[in-house]
Amino acid sequence: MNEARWSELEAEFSRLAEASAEERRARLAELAPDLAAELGELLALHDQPELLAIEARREREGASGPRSSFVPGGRLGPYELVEPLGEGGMGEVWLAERDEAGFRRRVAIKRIRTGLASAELLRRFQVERHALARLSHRSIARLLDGGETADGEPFVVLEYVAGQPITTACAERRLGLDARLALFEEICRAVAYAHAHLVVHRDIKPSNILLTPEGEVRLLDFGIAKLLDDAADGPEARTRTAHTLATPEYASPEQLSATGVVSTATDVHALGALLYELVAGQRAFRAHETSPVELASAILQVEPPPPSQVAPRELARALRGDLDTIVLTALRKEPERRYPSVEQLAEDVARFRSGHPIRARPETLAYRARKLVARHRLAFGLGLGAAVVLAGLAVQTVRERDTARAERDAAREVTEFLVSLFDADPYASGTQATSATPLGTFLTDSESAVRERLADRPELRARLLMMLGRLHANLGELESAGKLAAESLAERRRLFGNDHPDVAEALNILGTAQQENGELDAADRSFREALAIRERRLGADHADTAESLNNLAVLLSSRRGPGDLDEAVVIGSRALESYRRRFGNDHLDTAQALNNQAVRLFFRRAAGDLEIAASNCAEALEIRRKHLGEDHPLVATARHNLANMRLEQGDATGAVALLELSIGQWERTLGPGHPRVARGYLLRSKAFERLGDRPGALVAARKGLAISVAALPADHPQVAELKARVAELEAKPAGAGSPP
Amino acid sequence: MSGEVTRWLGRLRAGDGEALGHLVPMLYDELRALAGHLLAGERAGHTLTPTALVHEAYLRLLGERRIGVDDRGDFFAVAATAMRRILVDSARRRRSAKRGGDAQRLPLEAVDSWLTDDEAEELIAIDELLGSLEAASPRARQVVELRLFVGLGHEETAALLGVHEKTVRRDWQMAHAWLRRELGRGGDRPA
Repeated sequence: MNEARWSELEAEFSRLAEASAEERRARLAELAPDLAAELGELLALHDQPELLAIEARREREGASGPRSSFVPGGRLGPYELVEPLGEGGMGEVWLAERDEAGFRRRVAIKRIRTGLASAELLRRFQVERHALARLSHRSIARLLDGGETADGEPFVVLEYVAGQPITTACAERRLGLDARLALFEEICRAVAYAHAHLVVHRDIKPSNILLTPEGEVRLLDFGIAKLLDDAADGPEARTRTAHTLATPEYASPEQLSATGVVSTATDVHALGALLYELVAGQRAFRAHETSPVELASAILQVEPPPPSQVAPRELARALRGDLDTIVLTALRKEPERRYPSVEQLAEDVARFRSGHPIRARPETLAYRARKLVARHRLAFGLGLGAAVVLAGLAVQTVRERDTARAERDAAREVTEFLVSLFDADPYASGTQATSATPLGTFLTDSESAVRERLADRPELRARLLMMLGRLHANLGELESAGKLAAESLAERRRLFGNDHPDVAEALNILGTAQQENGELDAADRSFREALAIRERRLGADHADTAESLNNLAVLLSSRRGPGDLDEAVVIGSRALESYRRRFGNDHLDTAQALNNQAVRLFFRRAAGDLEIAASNCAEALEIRRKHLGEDHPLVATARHNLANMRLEQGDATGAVALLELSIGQWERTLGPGHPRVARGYLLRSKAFERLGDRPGALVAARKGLAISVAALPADHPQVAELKARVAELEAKPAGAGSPP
Repeated sequence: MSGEVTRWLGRLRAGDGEALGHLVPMLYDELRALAGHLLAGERAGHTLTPTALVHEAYLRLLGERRIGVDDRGDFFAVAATAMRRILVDSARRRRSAKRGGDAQRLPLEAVDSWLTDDEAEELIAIDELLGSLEAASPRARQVVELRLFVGLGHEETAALLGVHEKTVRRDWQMAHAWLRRELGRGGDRPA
């Protein structure tokens, strides 16, 4: 058989494989007799499916093998499961063994139960494992491997450590204060080592720190939390973190707030919480008797009492003063006011143990007063942590684009460069012990250093300038962000020509800054050029191309010039398809794209738009319910949007039922005084009116108005709309409304 | 070993025709050693799935380095060829051991007892048909090799070949029917 014949056969075959008998007969009659004969033969075989012997073998083994993987004696690749070790935050942990050149090596296998697509998690894992594999420290349990079961459930394989959680072990062995502090110093050294390798733990807690029977500490799960957070990276990543932290008692404020940046300072906070528990015998923040939401707000706002006040009386004297100061400094709400590094925390503990004066200073009264005023404006966490964040970004970007060798060199260079920016010892300068560089100064200093010292490394310079631009954008300083992005763009055009993914990346940041600044036409040009480059160079299914499509659609629907909305719908639908192909139909990013597209269709409302919009909303709702659970504001948002569509479609009863749920969810998750709750009541009022229930409509409108007046400025359109609505409903007597 | 594999994969991608000749034997040895090792234990419930083997080889040879998606695709393509040769060689050894008296007779290895007689005969026949399939549709041959000898699913096969899943499904359905027809004709064909 030659190629032409095969492709002719295949085209007909795929057309007819699932066709009806009549269709087949009709088509076969049209074809040349020899082709029809061969086709008929192949189709007949296709109709009686029968496995080849080798396939049947695999089916049998597949059925008895990996499907039942998580049972004693089950196998996962080369690993044989022995017994469950316990239940962790993300799922259970199993003891497993593998044969290794004649001896049995014991490992711990951690099942990862998340709503995340395992493909994305595994992709992330491949990116991370290189960095994690380099962590070689006697106190850090190594990450060995990762994979997925036949069912697609991801798991990671870790070095097995026999031991007890540090707090339990200290209590059982009745270790004295100095012995506990010595162990804590050892823990700090391991964490500092990881930080030097640009890995932040993010989930330090007693159950992740074991004391072996030999009295050595071992830290587990380095980098795992990041793996999960990164895999969930997307519009909903932030909220996910706060909702799914398994042990919020040890979380830091920046992990629980929407704008927080996780850095080495996050680990300093967790170590502070650990030290608190080790010396005082109690947790700094307790889940005891409080809901996760209350616990989170305690971590964000409440100062824990000094350890000396909660410790047993015989210890209190030893803790009062310096040890209280050390613990509370590590636990400060603002990352930049904590110890700037884990080493410095460890050093103060060592000073305390040897009877030397410590370097941290207690909070001053003036500071406490200032903080009270500014409490709701938590600063953007940056200290030395920023260096790690930046370097992490750089390593990541470089990694994805360059070869292995260039990757190592660039990572080292970026690290050295950033470390040099922070060479100065904050304690040597004679300033207040924990005063950190304000963020603005940090960015300006970094920028001039990047310009001066990287003059002969244009590629690296362009990269770092763009990252600084991104940080400015995150802080809302759009003018600086735009300038840096434009400069980086010009440099990259010069270096790589106009048709390069790095140019598209810079264009995209520039476009975002332009859009936020109100330069919509300029943003339009930037986004289009970025999109064209990414389509050509990365293909239609690449995540960056989908991002570009999405950005352009969002811009067009907010600009609303002639034809913009129509084009926004077209581009939006391509973005949606791209998300579907890239992330699958069951992914939170796809849900976001579905929702965005529904809103565009709702605004345009051409024939058939509402129906598609409603079905998009319904699909988004299902995805979010599955991944986020019922009580999540985004689930409520999807319900609210769907109610809006249903009402427009004339289904007021359906809308009321949806609103019943969404309003309750928003009240529980955002608080009863949130403006969005008022939007729910506004819509409910409209639905009741449509159903002929004017008294009900009035009650709902009044409720919405009361909330809006309390929560929004007086000239806000939502206040005006609700006022008008209440007035209109009051003007007509109850029962005089339109017939039901 | 790891560096060598990566280097040859790079040359393979650059169009170096010699690269395949170096890569297949490397993977062949590695995969066979792994298979033998896994089977040596003879523990109850022990299974040898080609997928597990190839993934294992992948991690052993390249796992400590982060390799690009391109490398991964190439690796699996080469591994599929190596895996096919291992299985087919094993099938041939089995057949010759059965017939006996052959001068070319090869010693049986642990891996050989894994296949049944029927499976061995079928594998040899499929191997002989792959040449004709290559001439008719190189892509269909790749699909068959990845699916049958590595045990990959449609989705992963599509990702590795850089084509749409639908394409893989089409190729597979047609090739599967065609293989079964040719195998059915086996008796008529000159041996």
